[in-house]
Amino acid sequence: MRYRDDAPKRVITPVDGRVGVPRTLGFDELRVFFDTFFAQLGFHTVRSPRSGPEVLRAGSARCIDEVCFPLKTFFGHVELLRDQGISAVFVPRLISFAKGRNSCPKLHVLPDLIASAFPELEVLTAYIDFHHARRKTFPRHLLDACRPLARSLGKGWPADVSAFRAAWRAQLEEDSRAESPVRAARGGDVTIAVLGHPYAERDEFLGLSVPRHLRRLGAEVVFSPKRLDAAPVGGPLEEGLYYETSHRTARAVAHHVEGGVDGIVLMTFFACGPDSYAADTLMYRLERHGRGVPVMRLIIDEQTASEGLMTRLATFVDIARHRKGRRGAGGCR
Amino acid sequence: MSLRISTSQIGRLGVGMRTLAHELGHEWVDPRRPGLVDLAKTRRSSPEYCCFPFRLAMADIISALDNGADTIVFFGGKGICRLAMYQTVQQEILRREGRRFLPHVVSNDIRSSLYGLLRDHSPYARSMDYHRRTFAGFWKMMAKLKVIERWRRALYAVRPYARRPAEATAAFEELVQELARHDDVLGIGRLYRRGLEQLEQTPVDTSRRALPRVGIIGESYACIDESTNRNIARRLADMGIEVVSPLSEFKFMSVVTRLYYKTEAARLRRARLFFKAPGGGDSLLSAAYAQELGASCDGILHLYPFTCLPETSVRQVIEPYLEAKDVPYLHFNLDEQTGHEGFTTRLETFADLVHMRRRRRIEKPGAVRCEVAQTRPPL
Repeated sequence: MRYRDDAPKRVITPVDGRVGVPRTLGFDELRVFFDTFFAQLGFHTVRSPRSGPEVLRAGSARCIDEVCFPLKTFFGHVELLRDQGISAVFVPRLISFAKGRNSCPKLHVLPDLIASAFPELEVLTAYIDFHHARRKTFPRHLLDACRPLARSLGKGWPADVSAFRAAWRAQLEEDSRAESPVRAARGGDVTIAVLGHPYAERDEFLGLSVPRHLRRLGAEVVFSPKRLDAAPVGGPLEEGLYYETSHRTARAVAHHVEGGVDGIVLMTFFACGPDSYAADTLMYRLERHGRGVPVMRLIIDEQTASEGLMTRLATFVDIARHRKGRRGAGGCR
Repeated sequence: MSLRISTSQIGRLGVGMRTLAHELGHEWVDPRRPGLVDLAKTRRSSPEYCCFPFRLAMADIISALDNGADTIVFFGGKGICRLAMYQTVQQEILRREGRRFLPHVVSNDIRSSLYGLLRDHSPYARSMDYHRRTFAGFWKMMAKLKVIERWRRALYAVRPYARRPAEATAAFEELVQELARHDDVLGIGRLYRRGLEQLEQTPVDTSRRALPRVGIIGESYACIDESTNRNIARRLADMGIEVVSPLSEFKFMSVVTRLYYKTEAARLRRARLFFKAPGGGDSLLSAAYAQELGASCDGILHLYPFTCLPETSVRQVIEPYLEAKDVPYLHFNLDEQTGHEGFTTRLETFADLVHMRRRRRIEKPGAVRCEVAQTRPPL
């Protein structure tokens, strides 16, 4: 069954005109867009604090124990927004960004999970499902998704369309500013790519500070390119992977293997559905198509011990250095 | 050219698939049920924390290939939950191990894709008889699965009251084996009526009255497959609890083939109370059944494989709902490492709780007494 529009039919009036936006789970990709969209409609977005142990504690009290680490943190972000007096929180329903792809099943029902755990909050949502949309381009579909959102805030035509146009322009400007792979620091005798979900790569708490540890070990750290449509299509690495994040990771891996990194760290979360299949499959495929680049997979959650993590990272950096040295001396890959 | 077909087993799905394969001139290869040794082997080659049904399916497929199957039907290819990726990963693993087979991926629209497999390779493909055989094959497959569903419902209703419960279960197993041997429509109908009578006339202990009822919801594999759920229905019956388990092989194939999808449409609309969009797998059905059975049963058991994404979403939303409705609820996340003692302890505690609540409700003035449920549904 398909549900096309699940925006509330009644008008929601956020207290003090503030809409809470949790700062995790990849909402940063369209952060500028939705900040501008809400601002144009006359509302002010409030971001939750950065992820940390108190966020996790707050989230674990509201959700069940079996969900993944990022989702527990997400619940914590919503809890902290509630503590700031926010009455309405924005949780988009991110089903699909591209034809033939799907995002994590949890993201399909995330607004419902939040509504169930936080009955005192109003949940604003946008139904983003490009795979099943009639529109041929993503911006047109995004407009279709944003109009019910604006309606639920009491704003109809033409305010919704003009807010969308301003927001899309702002997002395109933001995207054009960051087109090359983000490098965490210059220097380092080996280059290690830290790849995975966007929040695994860039969130210090969720990513267990892996990039920082690698830099301390003397490595230069690179991440997924921000604009993956500029990265080459993954080819044999990407084939048959069903989820959006798996495709992105495969393409980022292919991009960095082409770019000649000395090692790849695949960040995955325990109990992550897409990663449970994609990461193993990628590891096997890299044995054939990875040009001998060392790959290490980290499965992390809130109980991952830092000592074990440091030992593995240190060993991996040593392996990468050793192989780089042998390649430079004409040794085998 | 006829094929030797097999697929992963879910409960007694093989009984129906065998008929379909035979009707179209193919041979069905029954996979042996995986034991712990088989599961240990598939664990080594499967992704590290894939879901339990994946490992069971791999064990079934490897066992079928070892028994001579040359064509494997893979379910997957589309959908929301990880089932969509099963066929990609399973085929890669099997090829890495050097196994040869003809894959056939059946996605949501089984009617056309399974039809295509059988049509292209059936010895009857160019005969006038082909369409009749195809229709007959699908009809008989669904009829057999429906018969098994109704027998199972009768068994669950009568077993807690039976004087010799093991005999009732043995009778059910014999009936299923006999059903597998019948391929004619009249034979299936006669056997169905005989089996239902036999189960309903199981001698009961009349001193047991008004036993509590517990509804089982969750993921299809965990609910239907008895080796996956540690024969939970049988254990509950031994503890004097009547089990209501709406999921079955018939329902699984109905949803996959969309043959009877419309009968579930009303139920799925009720799930909108919890989910405004599909969460994948059986999430909508589980949520809808939680609402339905929560109102009519004395407790709800939620079964799902460990880390199942749709069912953990269901758990997140139905736990507060059932708590608000004061319905006892227990979840089991299952895999091959689920400990027997812990499982038994939790189940026994839940059974005690349900019995205690039932007794209190009956002793309270004005409480409605529950008779033994009518098991014969209208034909």
